[in-house]
Amino acid sequence: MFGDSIRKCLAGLQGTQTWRVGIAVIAKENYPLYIRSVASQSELKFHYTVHTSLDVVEEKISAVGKSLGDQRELYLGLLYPTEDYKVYGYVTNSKVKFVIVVDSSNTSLRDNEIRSMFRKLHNSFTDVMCNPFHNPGDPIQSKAFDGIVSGMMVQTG
Amino acid sequence: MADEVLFEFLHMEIVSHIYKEQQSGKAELDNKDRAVCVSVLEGMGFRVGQGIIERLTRDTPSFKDELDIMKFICKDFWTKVFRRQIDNLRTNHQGTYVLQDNKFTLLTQLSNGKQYLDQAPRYLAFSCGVVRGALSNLGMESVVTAEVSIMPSCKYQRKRRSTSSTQTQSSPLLIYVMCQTIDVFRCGFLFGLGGNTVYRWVIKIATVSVSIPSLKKEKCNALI
Repeated sequence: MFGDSIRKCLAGLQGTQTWRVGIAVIAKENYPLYIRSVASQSELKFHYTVHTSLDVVEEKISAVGKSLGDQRELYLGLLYPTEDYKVYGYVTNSKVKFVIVVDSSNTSLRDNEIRSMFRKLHNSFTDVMCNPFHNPGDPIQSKAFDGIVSGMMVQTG
Repeated sequence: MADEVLFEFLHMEIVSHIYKEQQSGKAELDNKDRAVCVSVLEGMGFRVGQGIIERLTRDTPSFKDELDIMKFICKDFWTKVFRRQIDNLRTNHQGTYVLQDNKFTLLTQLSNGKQYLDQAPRYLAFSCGVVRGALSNLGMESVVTAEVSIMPSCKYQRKRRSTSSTQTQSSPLLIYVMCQTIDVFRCGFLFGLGGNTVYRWVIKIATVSVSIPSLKKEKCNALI
């Protein structure tokens, strides 16, 4: 199922510049609901990056819980930078995590652009949850959600 | 405005449809049938609750603790879903919460006193499910029940869901694995393997059997 979406990605992305390396949606029990990465990256490495970022997400969530009186945001910000990628995280109130991985070489992406990407993701995820044909906890198969994610991945700058 | 009563009418139709379906062909509904109807209604409410809470908490900051979540349910959630706030919230600070609504929207049309009191539970099942679904998606696994003493006031009680029911599922698996390890012992000695090798096999199997029940427990909590 993921293979199909990767192939579609390949076909659509010939010759277009991509900044986003990949987008993942993780359920509250920490298994993936949706993973999509750009074809040129090795899929396994992307899965691994997302998996390791979950630790940082958990750390941030529990740290936020201890700070009192703060405006607790859903956006977690830059989780950690590696030499190739920057990983951003966002957690919803239902403890579903969104992870966006972008190229480190791309410096033009500002914080509020990432925030707006997460908001778009959250909005279309809410639509998926309200779809009666979707069972919560199942992998996301909505074409509308696919469309939003493809739109975000092929955007330049 | 017609939109407010749309859901109330639809809800009444849903309840009567479910009961009629269960009764088709039978003269009277026995307790088992009634329980089936209530659990169908509750299940519908559960799925609706999960979706609604996703939409309602999209823009709210994350919750500090259980009490914060219950306050959200009493104020914002109840306002958006039932168009009023909960009148009274009580807790024992150990996971049990009692929410009292003195003029519950889905009961106001039924009666103003004790008339039709025995019919009231079927009109509360869906809302119990909605509350349970909302809490489940926010991370609070619960058992939600409702009671009515005088219409249209009703009390919802939320108790922490105990995980003891899933632990009994693990013991058959454990017994099965232990039987297998005894066989391993026998085979090991048959083939003349050293005691050390067999011992390591047994430890490996024992650790696998300990981890599998916990996995099953997590999966059960995730599905329900």
